[in-house]
Amino acid sequence: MNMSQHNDINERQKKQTIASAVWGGMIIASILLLTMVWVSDRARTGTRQAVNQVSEFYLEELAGRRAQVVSEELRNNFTHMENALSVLEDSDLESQDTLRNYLGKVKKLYGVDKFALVDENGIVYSEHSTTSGLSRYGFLSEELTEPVISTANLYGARKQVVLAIPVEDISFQGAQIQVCFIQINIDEMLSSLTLQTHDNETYCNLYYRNGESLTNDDFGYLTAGKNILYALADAHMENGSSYEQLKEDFAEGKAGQVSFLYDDTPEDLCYMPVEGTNWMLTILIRDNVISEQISSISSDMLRHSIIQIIITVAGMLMVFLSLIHQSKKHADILLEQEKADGKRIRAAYAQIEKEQAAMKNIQVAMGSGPWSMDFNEKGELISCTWSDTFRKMLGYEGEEDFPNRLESWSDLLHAEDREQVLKCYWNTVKDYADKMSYDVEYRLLTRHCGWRWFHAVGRLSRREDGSPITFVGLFMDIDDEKKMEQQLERQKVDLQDALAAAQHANKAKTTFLNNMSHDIRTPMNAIIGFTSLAAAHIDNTEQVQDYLSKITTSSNHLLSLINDVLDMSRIESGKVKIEEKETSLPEIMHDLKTIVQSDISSKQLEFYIDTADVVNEHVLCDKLRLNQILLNLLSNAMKFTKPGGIVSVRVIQKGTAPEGRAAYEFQVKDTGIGMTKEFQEHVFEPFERERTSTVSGIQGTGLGMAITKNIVDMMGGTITVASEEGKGTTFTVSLQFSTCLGPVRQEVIPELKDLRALVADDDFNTCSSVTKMLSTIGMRPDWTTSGKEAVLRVKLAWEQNDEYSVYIIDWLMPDMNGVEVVRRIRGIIGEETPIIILTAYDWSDIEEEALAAGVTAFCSKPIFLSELREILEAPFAAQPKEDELPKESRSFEGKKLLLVEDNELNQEIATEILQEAGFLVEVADDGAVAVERLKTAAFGQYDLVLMDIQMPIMNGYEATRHIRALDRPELAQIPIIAMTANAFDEDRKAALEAGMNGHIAKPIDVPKLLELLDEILN
Amino acid sequence: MTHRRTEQKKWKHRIFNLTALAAALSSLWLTGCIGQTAGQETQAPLHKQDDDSTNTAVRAVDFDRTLDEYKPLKNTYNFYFTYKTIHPWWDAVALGIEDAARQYENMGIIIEYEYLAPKDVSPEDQTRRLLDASARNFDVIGVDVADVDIMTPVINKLMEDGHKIMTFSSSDADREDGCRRIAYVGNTHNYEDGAALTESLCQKLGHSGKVAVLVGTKGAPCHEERAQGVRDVIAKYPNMEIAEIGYDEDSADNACILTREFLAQHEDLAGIICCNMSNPVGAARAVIEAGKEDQIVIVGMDHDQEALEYLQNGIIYALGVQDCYSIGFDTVQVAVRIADGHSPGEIYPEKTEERTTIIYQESASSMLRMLYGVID
Repeated sequence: MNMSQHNDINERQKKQTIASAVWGGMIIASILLLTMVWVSDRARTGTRQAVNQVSEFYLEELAGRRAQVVSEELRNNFTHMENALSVLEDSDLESQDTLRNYLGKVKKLYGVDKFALVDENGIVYSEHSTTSGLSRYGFLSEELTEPVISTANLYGARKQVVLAIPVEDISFQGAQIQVCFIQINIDEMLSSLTLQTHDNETYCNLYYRNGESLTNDDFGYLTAGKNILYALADAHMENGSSYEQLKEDFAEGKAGQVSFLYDDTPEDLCYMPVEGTNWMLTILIRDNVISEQISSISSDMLRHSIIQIIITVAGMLMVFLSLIHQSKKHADILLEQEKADGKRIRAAYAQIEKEQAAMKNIQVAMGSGPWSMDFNEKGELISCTWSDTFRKMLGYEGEEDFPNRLESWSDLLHAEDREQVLKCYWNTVKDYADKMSYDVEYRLLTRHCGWRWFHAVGRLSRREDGSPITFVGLFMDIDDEKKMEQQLERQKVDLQDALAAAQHANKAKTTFLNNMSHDIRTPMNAIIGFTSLAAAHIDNTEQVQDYLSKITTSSNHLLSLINDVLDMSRIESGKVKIEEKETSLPEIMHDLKTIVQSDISSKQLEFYIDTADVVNEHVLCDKLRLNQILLNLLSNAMKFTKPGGIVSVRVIQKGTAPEGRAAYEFQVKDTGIGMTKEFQEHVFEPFERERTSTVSGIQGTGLGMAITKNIVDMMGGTITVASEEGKGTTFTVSLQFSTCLGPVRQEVIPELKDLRALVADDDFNTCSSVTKMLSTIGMRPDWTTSGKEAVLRVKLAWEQNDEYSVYIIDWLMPDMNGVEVVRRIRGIIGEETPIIILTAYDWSDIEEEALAAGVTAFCSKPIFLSELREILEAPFAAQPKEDELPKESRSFEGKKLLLVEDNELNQEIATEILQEAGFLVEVADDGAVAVERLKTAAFGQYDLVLMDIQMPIMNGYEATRHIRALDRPELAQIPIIAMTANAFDEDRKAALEAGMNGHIAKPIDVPKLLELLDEILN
Repeated sequence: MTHRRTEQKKWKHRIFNLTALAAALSSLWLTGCIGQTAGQETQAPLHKQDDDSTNTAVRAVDFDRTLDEYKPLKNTYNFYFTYKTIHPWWDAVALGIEDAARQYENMGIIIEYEYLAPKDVSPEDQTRRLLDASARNFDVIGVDVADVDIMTPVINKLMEDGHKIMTFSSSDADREDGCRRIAYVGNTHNYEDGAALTESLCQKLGHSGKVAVLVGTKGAPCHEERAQGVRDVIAKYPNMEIAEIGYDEDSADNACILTREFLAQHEDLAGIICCNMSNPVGAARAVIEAGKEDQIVIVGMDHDQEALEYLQNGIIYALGVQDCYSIGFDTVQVAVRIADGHSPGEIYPEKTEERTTIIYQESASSMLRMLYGVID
């Protein structure tokens, strides 16, 4: 084979290859084309079926929704009419103008063509017109009884929907309004339902069930107004549709769909009844709309497929080329980046090394312990390194002792610092903007030195995105500096407190002086003034007596003021001590009652005093101070309660005290003027007086409550106040005392066991406490707050042969007084059974009458269990004791008395008083004189010495000691009574310690003086 | 008085007769054309219906009226209109009034009005209404004269008292009647209408035969004038004869009763000429009742729906349809000008004439569709 042949063969093979490729390409192209055509055809058929199916659903849905819209529109319009009529007022019916105004507003509001009312004569009233409507509106030809929907085929073919409702009870200008109607343009009503556009052949219309059109619009090829049933009679029905079915559906108002050929055009009609009407809503769609859509879709699909394939291939090619290009570019960038990173890392390491070296130097210089932490790219802690210096500062040796973990450090943080320090730490770490610095002071628990203060600072190196790389810091012991700082701070505070206290004290002093100046000058002014007046009218005895009485009152007030001030002063200076002695609570309470008795009586107050649950009647307490507390409170209560008001005292034992102690609550309650809430907060402060006190003219020093509070505080108790203006006040003092003698006997009295007892008292508290006591001793008590009821109960018990064995009756009860009750009870039960009168008042005035009425014994309130036992255990006959017999009147006639007094005025006053009482008085000017007189005195020359304390040469104590030291026993034992302005307890004690027999304070309280003299001389 | 006035118009109307004859001939020619077309229409696709019959109907009533360029001087007007009797014919006039008022309202001018009538024609009632209205301060009072002789002095008195009175719709009382009303809007050619209708009937009957004439209300100018037109045309043809004239008092039932009597008394009756709206309805009912639809030719007035249906079915031969809508529309426009104090002249004519169109069977469907929206 030569070269030429070989070339030919090659050429032929080449041609064959090309031809094969061309044929192969053509075959593939043909297959592709055929496949595409086949697919396209299948798609067209499938699309057509799908579209047909969907269009059926769509038409039905569309028609249903539009029918619903029409129905709702009609319903809404009926509602509009009803609403409009409901707001029609008489004023709207006053004239044609007002009615037109109303109709116009309604028309505008509801956007209807006409809103009108029709009267019984068929006159139609609308916004701008009044017309005769009988011939125009068919529904007016008969009486309207229910809402009507009609269409008006009005002249001009402008069909309108008329909705009318009957109207009642409205008249206008003498004629009854019978109908209200609105007129709506159908075309406008249906405008929202219209589907026609210039390129869309889909139609919507309304027909009566007889096929007549409601609207003026064309419906597909059907001319406006054409009867649809007539029009479709000759149409060619398709797809199983039937004209008869259509007619039947229309007649019966049923929904349905038909397909037909009308004027050679395939169309689909869907119809739907409109609820509440005899209308059918129809939707017509041309089949060509669907087929054109399908063709369009298929062509589009084919075209899109080809374009899509070309675009896809081109796109893939471009993506492939782009990827290669990007990959190459990316590799270059990475290489560059790697180089740059390497440089940066090396620089960073160099910087770190440099910083570490610098840090080390600083650490050494500052004696601080470094630490460092490393973080990954997510900002998570990956390692933590505590330096040995750091560890040593905390008392730890190596990593075993103090591992390289954050918790090794954070667990040692002081609870008060922990949250703040950790917050600062993490905030600094997470601060990618690198604006925060870590600089904190905190306490750590060291191994050997307890809590110590440290100062830590740190700095973070960060990546480009701000994430932390390394956190390096120092740690210094600042405990000494910190403690010094705290000490200085404390000193500063102390100094400030001291300054404040000094300022307060200064202020208090000024306040005190101002108050005292005022409070002392007020009575002094009265004393001096009335003294001057008395001198000026000395011959007018009556007037002088009046002045003297006023002077006495002012003097007493001044004295009480001085006493209070001194008391307060002593309390504040700590001179008052609480001296606990065995004390009987019953005694205190009875004394209290006795003391206030006269004031209660003179102020015409009702007074109640009782106990509750008191089982420890004997306690260790300062009787004097407890009395002072209760008296202060009671005085206040009486002072601020008007005549007819109630003052009550109650002592309750609480079961809350530990063994050997007893807790008591003393309540002092009144129905007086009360206090404001503001004043209640200051009532226990010195010199506090509520304005109302001044207004009411009630005098007071304003110190009583402050003294009381101080004493209560000293006794370890509390005092509270509850008050309401115009209603009254309750002070409650809670105290605890040590008990002595144990609790009162509580065992049953065998003689009285299960016997009945009756308690009658208008005070429920008394009834309650006495009843409880009676139960304690084994009796069966009944109680009543009515005297009359008590009598009835007694009668009943007597009749039932279950009479009472003991009667405890209050003296003063509102419905019947106790004596009368006793008299009546005696009338029933006879003389045998004991009847006890229980009272808080002095019964001496009624004693005789009461005994005559049959009272067996009197018992003073408050009654304690021990007292009740005693009364019930003892024979009931009342035997007056000897010591209770009235004392003979005092007589000091002939008694000789040495008055030792350096002040001439006092000498004169005392001499006058004593001589008046019958004494023979000699006066000595000084203690030394007195001692000399006694030394030389004959036997029986003096019966008693009244000794002043503060005297110029020899004071009273010294003189007494000299006297007691005299050789002559009758003189050495002569009664000496201190009569001094040194009126405090310690003065009294000092007097007794000096050997005196008694103490009486100046200014002289004459009855007290005479009582004391009587006591000592007799 | 009415008779004297009618006589005075005779000569004037004779001149018109020539015109009417020409019109009748043209309409007959047109009828043939339209009739043919209409016959085809019933079988042709409905959407293709747009032909001369429709045009005739559209031309008869102009529903596309818009207000002219006159600018009212006030923002609010208050008019009182009273017409002869409650009847659909005046409801058509009312629509024109309503539309004009609505168009004025769109311009910001409020037209308030009352448009009222008694149930039966009564000059006395109309007098009372006018007097009541005169006491209520209306800008203009419009009256469709129920009786020229009775109403003229009333109108004149009100004019003397300073009220502005106009006449409108079907009947006028003009200067020739001694009435000093300001203007009239409505049909000014009732005589001619009666004559033209009669001509078309005579033509249909070949100018030979006995006819009966139904009129509306005695004394109502429009009805009487039409009746006179009828008489004058019949008198022209020697073979034509008026057998009976009856007044139905604007009641279709009365018209039916009267027609029954005519048919009973005149077996050879060939036609009935109706001069108002209720006449042809009653006449057609009676003819159908008697089964003489093919024997009796009925011509009549106006656009009653029932009458149009009879026309459509061939019971009635021709109807003269007045443009009631335009009557109402123009009444408001003229009233506004009167209220503004203008006298007839350049701004508006003393008489505003509204047209009457005679239509035949082939135009009935179009007319029914246009007026009442009824198409079968």
